[in-house]
Amino acid sequence: MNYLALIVGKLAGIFLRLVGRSGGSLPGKLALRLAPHILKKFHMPATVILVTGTNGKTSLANMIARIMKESGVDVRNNAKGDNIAFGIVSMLIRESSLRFKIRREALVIEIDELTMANRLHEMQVSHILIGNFFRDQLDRAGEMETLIRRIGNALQHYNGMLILNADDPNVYRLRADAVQATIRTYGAAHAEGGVVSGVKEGHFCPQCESNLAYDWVQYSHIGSYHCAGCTFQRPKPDCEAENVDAAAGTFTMEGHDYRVNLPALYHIYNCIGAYAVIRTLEIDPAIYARVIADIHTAPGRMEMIDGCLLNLVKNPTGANEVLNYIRRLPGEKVLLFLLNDGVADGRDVSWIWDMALEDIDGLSTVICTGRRAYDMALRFRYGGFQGTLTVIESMDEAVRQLKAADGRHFAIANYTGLFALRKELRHGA
Amino acid sequence: MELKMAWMYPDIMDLYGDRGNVAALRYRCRQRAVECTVDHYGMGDTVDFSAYDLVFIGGGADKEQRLLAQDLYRHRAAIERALDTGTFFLLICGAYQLFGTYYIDAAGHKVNGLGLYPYRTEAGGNGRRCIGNIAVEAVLDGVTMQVVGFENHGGQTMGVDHPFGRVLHGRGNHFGARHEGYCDGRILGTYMHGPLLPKNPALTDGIIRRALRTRYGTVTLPPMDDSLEQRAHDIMMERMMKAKRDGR
Repeated sequence: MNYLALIVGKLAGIFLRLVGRSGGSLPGKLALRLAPHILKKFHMPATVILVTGTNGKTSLANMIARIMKESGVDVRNNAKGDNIAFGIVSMLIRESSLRFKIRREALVIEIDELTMANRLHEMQVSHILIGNFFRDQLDRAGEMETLIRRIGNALQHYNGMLILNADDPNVYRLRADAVQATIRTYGAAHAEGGVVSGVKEGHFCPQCESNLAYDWVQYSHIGSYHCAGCTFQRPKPDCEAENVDAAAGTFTMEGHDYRVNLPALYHIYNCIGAYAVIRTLEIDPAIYARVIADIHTAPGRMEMIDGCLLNLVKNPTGANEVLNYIRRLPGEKVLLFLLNDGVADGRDVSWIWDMALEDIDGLSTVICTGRRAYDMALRFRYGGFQGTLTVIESMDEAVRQLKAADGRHFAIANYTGLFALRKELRHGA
Repeated sequence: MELKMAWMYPDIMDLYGDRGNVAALRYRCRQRAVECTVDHYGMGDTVDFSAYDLVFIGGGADKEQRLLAQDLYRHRAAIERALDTGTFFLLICGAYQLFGTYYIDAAGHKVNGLGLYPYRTEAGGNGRRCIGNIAVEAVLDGVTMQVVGFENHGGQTMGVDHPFGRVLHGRGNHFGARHEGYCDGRILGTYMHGPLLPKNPALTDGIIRRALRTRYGTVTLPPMDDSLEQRAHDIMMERMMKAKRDGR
């Protein structure tokens, strides 16, 4: 049955490519229906890197794959963010021989957190990187604590390299579950630039449940923590960035200076994570430096379209990073916010109340659109916004008004609205 | 006129944008020239509950809730006194559960509640949770209103003798329940968040009037422009009624 599933998947992939589709998830979906444990059958290459965490996994996985590629490694990754089992199996089917052998030197796999918890035991993996855990789509993923516990259970039998963000207590705690893994940590020394949103998740020690105190917070609950009641604390990371300047996009690592072209702290954390990975792979840091200085962000991530900076946001932490960036820019600002509540967005929109959207200097006009435009408008009203606040149910009309407004233009959308908004922004550009 | 509010555990019991409830109460008070003061209290603090017109406690995750329960026990006698002297309590989700007799969470931990009310809560079988948009018809101080929100709770609350509302769409206190929340005129406990109040201006006004009544008697709140709030409410109400008609 596994063999049949592989053939069916391959044929589906060929067919989809013939008709011009990407085949990102359908071949895997068909194959998994025929053979639910087909993942176990693949003979993986020696280097298989899983990248997971709430925010930034697409960017980080793409970055690692590109660095490896430019170093001459024959590597493939699920570049479009097809990060659940369907997408991962689709990629494996595409890269596999008819004998289930993956014909590449290395794979970089972006993987959804829940999928990793459920499927890790079916895969031969050499590296796992876990970047962060933030509150995200509670209606779909459930409570964060439950998710982390399930990942902890999955890691108990994992014996490869486990690369953890030491500055996130909920990530670092997993070292205690991964008793057979080789642990590497990364993090950043206290960065310049203020914090807008404070601690949300890391109130209590994951080991003894006493209060967790912070010496500094970089953003959200990422920072330097120590427990008042036991020995749990941020370690000195194996790879620690110093002289981090988020606004300038610069940092120092092991005595070398690096510059990134997207000046935001969360992005610098991705770069540090990528560094921790390449340090285990005999890759020349000069190639790393070249790539991180020239990252093209994914669609809807700090994307400039016709004078408007477009961003996808999916959860409060991601949104706060974007709002922080907007806050730092001078001048008059106009913001279009598209809020939808499709399944992929999370049907529950209460997360918008965890965004810190108060006190954005220069913000004169906010235009809300999308299926939950009125909820978004109420969020701004109750956040004390004093400028012009309008709801325009038609997205096309909302974009027209944005383009007609004076000032620097920004657009923010969540998942299901992003591509339509992107298209509309491009229209007539 | 002044509305004095105590907000318990604002950092910890704030899982579903519960701060929006406080923002809505404050905003609607100020629009009517009712001064609204909000004092924050955390774990370990001393609180004189009877000094407040309104006490608000939001929802938290299982772990937070378990740790907080310890802190809340200290206040049991003071809360009981405040209830007797007319302080109104607005309790969302986890806080609602903790005012009952006990709560058994998804990991099987039994958390004793304050035991001020006879209802009890147990995590549903197979980890099933009541998740989705919800609408109820509720009566507060003789005013009938339709209230919209979002529910997301594993806990199944049984033994409710004074429900807050009749379920029009969604689940309510447990799978198969036709009722939602608890309201006896002294507390309003509910699973509805979203957050609850910004989109439900009639309910927000009802809570303000109820909270002010102990000190000021029956209060009339003048009408205000809340077209955004009403529209946000109506869109969700219409959507849920359509889904119901379509058999979803």
